[in-house]
Amino acid sequence: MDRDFRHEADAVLMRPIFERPKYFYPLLGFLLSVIAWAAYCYYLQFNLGLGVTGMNQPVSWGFYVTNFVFFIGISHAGTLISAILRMTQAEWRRPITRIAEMITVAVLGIGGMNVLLDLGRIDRVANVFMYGRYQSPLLWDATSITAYMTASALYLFIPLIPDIAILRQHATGWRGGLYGVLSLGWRGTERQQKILNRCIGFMAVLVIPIAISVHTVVAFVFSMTLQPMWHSTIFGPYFVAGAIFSGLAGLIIVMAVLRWVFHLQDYLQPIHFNYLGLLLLVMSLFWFYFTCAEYLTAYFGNEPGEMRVFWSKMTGEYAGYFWLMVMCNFVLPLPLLVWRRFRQVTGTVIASLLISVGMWLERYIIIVPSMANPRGDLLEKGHYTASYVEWSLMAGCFALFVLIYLLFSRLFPLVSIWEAREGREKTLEIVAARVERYKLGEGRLKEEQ
Amino acid sequence: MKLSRRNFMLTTATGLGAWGLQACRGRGGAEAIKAVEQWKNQLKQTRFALCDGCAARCGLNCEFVDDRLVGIRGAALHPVNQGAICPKGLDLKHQRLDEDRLRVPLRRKGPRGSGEFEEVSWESALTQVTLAIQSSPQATSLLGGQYRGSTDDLFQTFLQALGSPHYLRLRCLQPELPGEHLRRMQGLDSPVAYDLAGAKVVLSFGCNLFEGWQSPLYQARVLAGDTDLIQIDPRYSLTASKARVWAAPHPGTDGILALGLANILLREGLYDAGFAHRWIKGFEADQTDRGPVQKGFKNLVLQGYGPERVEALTGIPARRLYQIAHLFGGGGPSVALAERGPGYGQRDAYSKMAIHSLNALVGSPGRVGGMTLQARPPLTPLGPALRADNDPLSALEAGEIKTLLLYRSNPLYSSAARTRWAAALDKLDLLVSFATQMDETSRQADLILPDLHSLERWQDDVTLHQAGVSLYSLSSPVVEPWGRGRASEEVVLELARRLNLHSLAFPDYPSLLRLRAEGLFQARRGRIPQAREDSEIQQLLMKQGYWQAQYDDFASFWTALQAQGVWLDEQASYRGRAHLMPQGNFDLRPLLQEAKQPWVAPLHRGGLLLVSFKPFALSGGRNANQSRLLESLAGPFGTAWEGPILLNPTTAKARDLRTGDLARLVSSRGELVGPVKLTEAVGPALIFLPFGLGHEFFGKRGSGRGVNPNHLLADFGPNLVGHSYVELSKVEAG
Amino acid sequence: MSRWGMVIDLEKCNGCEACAAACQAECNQPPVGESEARMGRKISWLKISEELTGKFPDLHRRMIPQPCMQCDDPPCVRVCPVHATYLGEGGIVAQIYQRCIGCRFCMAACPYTVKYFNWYNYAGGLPAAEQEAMNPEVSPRPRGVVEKCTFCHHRLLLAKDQARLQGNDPARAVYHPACEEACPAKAIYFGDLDDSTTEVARLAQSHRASRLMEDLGTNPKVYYLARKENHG
Repeated sequence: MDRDFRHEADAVLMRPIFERPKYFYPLLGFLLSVIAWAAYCYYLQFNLGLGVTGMNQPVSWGFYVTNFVFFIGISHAGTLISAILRMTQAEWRRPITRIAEMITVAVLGIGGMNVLLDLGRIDRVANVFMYGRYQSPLLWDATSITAYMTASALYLFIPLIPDIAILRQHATGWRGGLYGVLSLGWRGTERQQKILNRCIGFMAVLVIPIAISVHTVVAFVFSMTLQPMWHSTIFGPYFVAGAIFSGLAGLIIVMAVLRWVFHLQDYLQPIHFNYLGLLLLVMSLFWFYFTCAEYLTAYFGNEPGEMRVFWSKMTGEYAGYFWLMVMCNFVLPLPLLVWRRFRQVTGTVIASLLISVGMWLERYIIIVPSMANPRGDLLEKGHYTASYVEWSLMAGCFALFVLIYLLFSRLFPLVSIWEAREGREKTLEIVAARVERYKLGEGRLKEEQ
Repeated sequence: MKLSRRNFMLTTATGLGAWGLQACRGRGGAEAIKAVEQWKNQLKQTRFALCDGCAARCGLNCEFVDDRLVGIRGAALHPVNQGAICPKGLDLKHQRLDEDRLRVPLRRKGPRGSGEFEEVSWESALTQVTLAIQSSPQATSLLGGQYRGSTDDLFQTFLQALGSPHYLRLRCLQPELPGEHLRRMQGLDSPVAYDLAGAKVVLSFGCNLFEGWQSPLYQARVLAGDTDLIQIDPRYSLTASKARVWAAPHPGTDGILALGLANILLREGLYDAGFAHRWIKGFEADQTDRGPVQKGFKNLVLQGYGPERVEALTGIPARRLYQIAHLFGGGGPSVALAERGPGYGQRDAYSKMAIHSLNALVGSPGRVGGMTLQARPPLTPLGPALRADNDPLSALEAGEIKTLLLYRSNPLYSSAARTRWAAALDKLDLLVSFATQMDETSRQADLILPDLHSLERWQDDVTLHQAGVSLYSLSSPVVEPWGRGRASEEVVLELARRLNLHSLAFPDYPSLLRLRAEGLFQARRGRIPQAREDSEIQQLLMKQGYWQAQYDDFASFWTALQAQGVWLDEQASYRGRAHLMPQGNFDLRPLLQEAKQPWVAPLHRGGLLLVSFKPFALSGGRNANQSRLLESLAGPFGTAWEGPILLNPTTAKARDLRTGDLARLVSSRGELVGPVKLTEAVGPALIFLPFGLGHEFFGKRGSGRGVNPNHLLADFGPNLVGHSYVELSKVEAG
Repeated sequence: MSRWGMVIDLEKCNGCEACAAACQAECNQPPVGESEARMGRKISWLKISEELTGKFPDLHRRMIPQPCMQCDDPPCVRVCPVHATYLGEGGIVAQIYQRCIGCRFCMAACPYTVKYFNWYNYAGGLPAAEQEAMNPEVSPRPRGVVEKCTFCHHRLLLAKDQARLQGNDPARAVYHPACEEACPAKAIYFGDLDDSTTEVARLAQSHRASRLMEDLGTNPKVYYLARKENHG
């Protein structure tokens, strides 16, 4: 105990925990003031009513629902990607998984919170439990988000146990107590390690269908209604693909920021950005494919209600948003991700930033134009401009995300220490053994001999 | 079972609950429920009131719970609306509660128009008015707006008693008086009732039957069936959209269009030759006259108003003229309406007579589905009538008037001759306003003696313009007055007492009304409708000529009249042609005279013509402060809370205007700036502007909202015209 | 059991908005004020849309009053998470204001956009005197909940009470909503669609009758009568 962590291998991963960074309090103060302002705005909304937003009739959903879908989308970055990488035993996953999982946990809560922000009567939220109707897609959302939240939190925590045990050796005071409790008596025995690996494996399998269900039912909120351009079977997969897409972009941005702030260049290497960039490229193509499928189907169907929404996006009031979205999600990122030259840290981060904006816009123009152009020739068109309250609460959401990450970084290592060690010590063996098993053509040769 | 504490509690609670339930069910539960229901049903009380929302004067049933006015419904037994109601009537409930209402007497403190007033006592205010009138009673005058009934008679008697000849009225519709054309062509002194219910074809020249003309609810009811409505109106109004045929002539050319129709009727023999022969004077060329031969109507129309020329002048295609003429002259009872409120432009008299000549051609006077005359209800007269002067501005400018009482009139807002009015009013020694809202003219007043809200005072009304029924309506106050206002009738009676005018020696206004109603009771005709079922039997009996007394004495008659609010006589329609043409003929010669007059201004030129109209919600004229009505201003008229400039999209495109942009309108008389709304319902060379908003002063919500078309409209004398040429340009934002 | 329905004769309707105003007065829908109305937050359970076709001067206009369509298969009911809106007695789509959590999912789901939201405390913000003048039969809605046309359900309850008092069968009680009562042109018919003797049932079967967005399968109980054939 009480050994100086600096003598440990991977000391750089523990530094932010034991040495308070210079910027910690200023940043904390800034984030808290943004959140305080957002809380004040919410207080106004709570006191006066949703009238302080820009929502109206017929655009009765706006920023909050957009943010809900957006944040839930980002949350796919984490657990889903990490689970897939773990299951496919991608070796380069090791420094990424924790960062990704933490994004999920932080952002999922924020996404869910946006639904609560959107409620006219938050004081009656208990009615959802008392009188809940399972026929309503909103209840499906509540269920699958809760399940995903629980699974993700567990999935974040289980691989954290060995690291906490490592930290326990260096921590004093309240930290020591905390780590003592949280390490759950981890001693790193073979049996413990085996159970841990099985748990991780089990959770990885469990998390994938839950994650897919989450964004599918988020899409169902829209596609289960009759509204033009919402009532479409493609919405489920389209939302899932979009979620992974935006989630990857979010992950790349967070990784770049952490790499720069915490000097993790040794761990988060260009190769990681390169691989994630490739994934992003694939998802960008997927996104483009889904978008084409959605809009082409609507266009050829030529259903009057849908066409009003369609043209409002193509050439009308929302054309600016639509084409900016296409630029941000496809046209601009494509060259950045295709050419190896650009698929470096900077290139992928720029692409990711563009995609984050683009995906937020996508959520926005899925929701608002359909509501603003109700079915039927009679009904008046609506307009929507978000009010300062909505902007403030959105800023608050981002600040809250950074705050959660900041606090997490002060408590737990952002890169899994034990996995990094395992990677250093055993990877070559494991991979060699694995590759040995499927050396191409060998089996046949052996048989022939 | 082990008796733990928990179990004991549970058992006790369950037992108590079950016993309680049983007790409720067993003992008197049903009766208790029944008692509550009975109480609930009896809670609501209904009191009759006359609607003051517009000149139609519908009957209302005001519903009260614990003396709170909680609802207003149309009175089913009132012949005008028969249970229907419109937004203005519904909103009386809230109009009464308008916090901007004037509720105390005010005296001007600063200079005229400064808007500085101080609260004064009624005594002090009345003394001031009494002294002013006493100093020169003949120079006292009253300027009235839209009202009828005993109020009108009271004012006439008051001025008569003072020896003043000046009874001024300013309004666009005069439902209780015959139009000028009816006076000159038929010699009538009572208004004509058009039998819209019996007509098969109704040809309306700009009368907004469903929006503001006479009794919109009555017209909506009787014209909703199979009647063919032909609407002639430059504006595609709501009325026009319900018409079988709508034609949009150039504004001001209605008379030419009418004579164009007459041309077709005459050429195709689609007119009532018998009627023409017997009744029409000036039909054929006048041969009895020595000297130059007087051209007849037939020559005039056949020579001067061929379809091609009329098409060129009015813009209505000849085939459309034929369509209208064939429909109108098709044999079914048809009637033409020449009673557009704001008149027909610079040649108003000519246009009205030209349109009215169509009634002569189809012989509509006295015919079912044509024109009838309703007898006046036999109210006890107050005194000799005093004909109102319908050119009040000239009378005021003549300078003979020193004291002016202003009742329900706001000329500084509602007249196109605003500057002339301001100058004329400034010459007065004392301007007393009875207004309930601080409007433009009242701000110029020296004294404001606020009237009560209509639901707070006694009201009555005589309706003669609804064919088939002579109607007297009366309503007592249904709610307590708010503030220290007084009914203007009471104020006039109080002045009469102070001035010792013996012809008006009534202790209060209700006793005056009571005296008037005695005439009804003694006339041995008419009835007070009690319930729908009764009325059919009674109606049948009365149609057979039986009259049966409903009440033994006047006291019970008076009580019933107050409760029901209606006295009516269905047997008082005069369909005899001699009645409808007291002068013995239908004289077309005044039309021939008018037709010779040249047009002052060109009929139409290239520019944009501004046409004003009244949206139904604001047709009461004093609605600009009613939030519910302002909020309902959507639909084809504009946007909620706004009275936009309505433009055709092509007109707008040429000036790069889109809905919501600000535009400037400039006429020879002034300019204004307002938001535009594009609609195909407006012709390309026209601009429509709603009337009823654009007050400088009219309460919190009414002031500075929308635009007042009067700032642009040409001033053609006493007749409101409603259109004017304007320039339109975009106002750049910023 | 009755199935209440409405038939609106568009040939008769002249767009006077009396029905909308009567509805607002009867069911205590407050004016939302200028800035709110401009944002499109006007509350009018029965809204009237203008359908204007053609080019000047060959125009055709219909004014189309739209209350809640009282669908037999209401999309709003399907999505409500808390059972605050449901298909109630006599086929009337009801809204429980005290349970609604204000998620506005029903508004998003309603293709007719006839559900309205209390963005602010509109009713409670009225002057005390105006609150006193509200119709006591209809509860004013608090901020943050969705509201809608109830087919004047409170009048049905009253009619049933009256039937009970008079010893009649409350299930056969007949009533009339405020809009029908106010209509000057008598363009609105109301009654039991399942009772073949009613005018409403007869008109709903007429060849002139159609419903808005019939193809959506929402099965509305508000019918519209189109223009008569003999009219050009």
